[in-house]
Amino acid sequence: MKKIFCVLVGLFCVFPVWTSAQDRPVFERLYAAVVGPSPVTLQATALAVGSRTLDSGQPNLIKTLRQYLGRELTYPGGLYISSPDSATWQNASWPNLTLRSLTMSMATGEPKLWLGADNGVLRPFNNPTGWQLVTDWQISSIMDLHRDPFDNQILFACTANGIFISSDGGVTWKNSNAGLNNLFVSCIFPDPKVQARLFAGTEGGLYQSTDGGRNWQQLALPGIPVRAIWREPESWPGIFWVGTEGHGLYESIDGGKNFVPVLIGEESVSIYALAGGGSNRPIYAGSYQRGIFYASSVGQNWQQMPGSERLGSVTCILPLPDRNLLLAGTYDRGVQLSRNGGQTWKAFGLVGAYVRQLVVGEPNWLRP
Amino acid sequence: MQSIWRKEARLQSLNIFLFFSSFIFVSGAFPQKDFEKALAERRQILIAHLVEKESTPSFTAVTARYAANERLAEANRMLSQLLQQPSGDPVYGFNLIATYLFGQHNMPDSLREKVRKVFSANAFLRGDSEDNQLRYYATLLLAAQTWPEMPAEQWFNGKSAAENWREAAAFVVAWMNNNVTYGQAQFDSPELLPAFVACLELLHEYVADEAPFGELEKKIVTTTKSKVAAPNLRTRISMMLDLLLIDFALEQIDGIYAGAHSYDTEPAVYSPRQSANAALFWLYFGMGEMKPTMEALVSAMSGYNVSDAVYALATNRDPLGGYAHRERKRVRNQLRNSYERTTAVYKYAYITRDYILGSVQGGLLSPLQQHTWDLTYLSPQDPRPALFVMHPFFDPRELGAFFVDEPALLFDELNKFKGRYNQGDKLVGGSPYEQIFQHRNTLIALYNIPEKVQFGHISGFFSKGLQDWNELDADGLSHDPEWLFCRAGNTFIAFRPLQEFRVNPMEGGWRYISESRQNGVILEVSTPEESKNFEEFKRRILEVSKVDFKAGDNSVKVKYTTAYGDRMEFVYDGNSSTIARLLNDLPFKYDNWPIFDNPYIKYDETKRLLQVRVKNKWRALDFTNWTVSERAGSFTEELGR
Repeated sequence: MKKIFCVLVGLFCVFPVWTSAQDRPVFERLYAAVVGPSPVTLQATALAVGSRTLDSGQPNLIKTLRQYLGRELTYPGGLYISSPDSATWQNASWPNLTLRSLTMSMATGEPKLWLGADNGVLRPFNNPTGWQLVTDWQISSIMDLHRDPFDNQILFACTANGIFISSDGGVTWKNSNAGLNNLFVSCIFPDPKVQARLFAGTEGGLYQSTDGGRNWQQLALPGIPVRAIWREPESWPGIFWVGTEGHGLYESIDGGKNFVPVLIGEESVSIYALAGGGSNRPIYAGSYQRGIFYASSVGQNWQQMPGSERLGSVTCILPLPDRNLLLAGTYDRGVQLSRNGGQTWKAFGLVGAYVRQLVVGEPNWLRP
Repeated sequence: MQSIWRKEARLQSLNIFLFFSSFIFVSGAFPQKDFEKALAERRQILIAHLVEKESTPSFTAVTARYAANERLAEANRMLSQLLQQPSGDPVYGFNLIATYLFGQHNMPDSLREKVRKVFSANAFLRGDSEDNQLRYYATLLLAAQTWPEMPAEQWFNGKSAAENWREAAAFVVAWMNNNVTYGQAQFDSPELLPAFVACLELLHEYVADEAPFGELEKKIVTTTKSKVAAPNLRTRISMMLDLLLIDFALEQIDGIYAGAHSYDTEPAVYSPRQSANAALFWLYFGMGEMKPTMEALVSAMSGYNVSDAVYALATNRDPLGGYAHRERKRVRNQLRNSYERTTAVYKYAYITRDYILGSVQGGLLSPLQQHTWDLTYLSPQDPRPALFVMHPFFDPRELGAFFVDEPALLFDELNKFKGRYNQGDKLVGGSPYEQIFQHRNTLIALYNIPEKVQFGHISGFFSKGLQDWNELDADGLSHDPEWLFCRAGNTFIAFRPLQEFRVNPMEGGWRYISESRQNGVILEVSTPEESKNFEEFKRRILEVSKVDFKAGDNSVKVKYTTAYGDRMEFVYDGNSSTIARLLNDLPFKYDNWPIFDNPYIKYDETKRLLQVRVKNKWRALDFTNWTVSERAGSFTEELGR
């Protein structure tokens, strides 16, 4: 009898723990870049409500937008950080910041977070708002932000008006567009294996720089809007993939010299996010309205992840293979989490938000 | 108004001297204006109205109370309330700094400190539109100047007061330079003009000519990009104000901003007396109705007065018939679908005392709220003296051209939008499938809308105030294309649909609808000075004018001979995207289109020199050296010499 009692007690004690472990991701902090309502949505809403401008800070903004957009929308734009082990998110940046990208560098020996926002580049700072805007009026609409994998002092920001580079840890910024025929640059990708080699995805194709971004040459896909660039982490000379708007996915197996289209869904599918690979792990592609596609680490046998259509448009993907987790940021369905390689998905907060980037981070990243 | 030229006789004698003195510019040649007294009275009327009637807490109510030195306790309470929930919106920031600057002498120390802390703890955002960015940087500049000792650690954006001042000044200088070199992007907006004017007037009132941050900063203000020195900031701002108000004065009729606009709203697009610019017209020119807005209050509180020349342009239009007016503006940066980022906007207007017919060349030039052409006529009793046709366009191309997010995502979102923007019955917005050809009092609009485009019809507005319709049958049934005639006061209107059309009643007027994707209209307008009377005008249109319209094979073509014999040929070929305009068999080109040009005003681009002449009164704005000069010239002297 005692044994039975102990087993039952044990079960009652263990079961909740087991349950919560099932719900609990195994990361300390998740950082999310949330875009927030587009200016065109605000303008159209202002037009609808009969005002000249819609005050992005007004208390009932989200309610007003929800009314006109007809969808669940809870979070304005900004940097959101999840509480440890839960799907509760807190805004950690300026309110209503349109944020598309974030990166971390060790510029001063300490981890330092950088935000790429519509207002420019921001970093944690010892002032009442907690952030310093390090760029000026000439830099806006940051689409993507990266640090140089070989030099922590170097940051790359791409914008709707060209590429800007800081070589002194974000203190000064210079535009660096020599050779670019199209200044709308959606994404920038420093090659993690080759120093000073960068790829830039523009509205008019894929560009490459081999001198740290000083000069650019058109590499492939002229006239095609590029949205995402990724490299298989362990391959040499390198397998690369490029996601496009309306022209599907392209692949290079010769280190980025030649790109060919890859059969993935429909020919005209738009690919907004690429991630994964390494150690025989899958490569993932987030698409417009089609959820997630995946293939082997070397890009063989692309197929749609069953059931991922319900994620809608996937705008970023964060695979955490060591923890058996796959996270997806979506256009209008917040963060989604899968514990079984994408077979099933569960909402993981930021309901209705346009999540553009997800990063596992540390609390001290916010330290000025 | 007549008193402007009260000292005309004295000036005429002065003219002779000046004319023979090799056009020596004499500052202050114009007399002091009596209308300044009237302006001061209107300022008081506006402030008194806001003190008495505006009881809901707002920056307008607070500023008026401080300005009137009345109900100060109430003003303090209201301001405390407004400071409890600060917003990052540039409008909030601008209104706050304006209230502070105008009212600080009446604020208790505790409130002043609370305002300062807003600029410390509240993150202000810049926005993506020209008006919001000017608001943001005007606010930042004046706040930095107000609290020059605040270190970076106390500013919301982590920049020192000196850094903020320098950046804001650089933006303002660059914005002004762009406007006088390429033309304004958010141009001629009846809704946004008061915002631009208010920003500049607040700056004009309070900006220091040189940065108040030590010797190094005092020397020059530099822009990061060009390193161009920009001293005399206040003078520059004053000149920019002159430019905006000259622009407005030239193209308004009865206080209504006529012709094409970068940004308009519904219902103001067909009820233009409701537009925000009416506030400015009432304040500065004493006509129309008072609008108690914050922008109007800032204008009223500022010490800036319109110059004689601007006043004369607005109120003393030449009685000698009509004249053509040309302007060049700038397309809002097209991020996608175009390699050229500063595509020009070619504005054209035919201006008379009785009407203005104005247009831009067509195409998609501004996001969402473009107004491509209209006829605005003098009809004081008509609340909606506007006539126009447009193509209601909505697709990812517009979204992708002007906004950075993925066009497909934006399109999905706005396709489900429960507002007017995505609706086929909207009346504001540009279209890439609309092209305009205007010659003086005649305008041809052609539409060549591909099958794949969502809305294939064109839509327009006629006011109920229009008189003497003889063929209009607003029964909602389809009618064959034929001339429609109507009149508004002294404005005679002939409107020719080029395809079948129908007319439905709508608020305050009739909605014109024509379903054909290859479509167009012709509008010819006249006055008794040109056509004796309405019957004679109709006769000439029916007997003299000729219309030859061809549509098919993705091409639209019209040949039109006007009632006075000018031949206009207009081809809009969708296959080759060719648009050809021939006037009397010669190509009508937009090459060398001036920033400003009409009988009253010339702009020399090489010198960046704007000259305004009304009768013998001259005003020259030199945007290269940033100086202003006035003189009295000869009556026979022509502009541009």
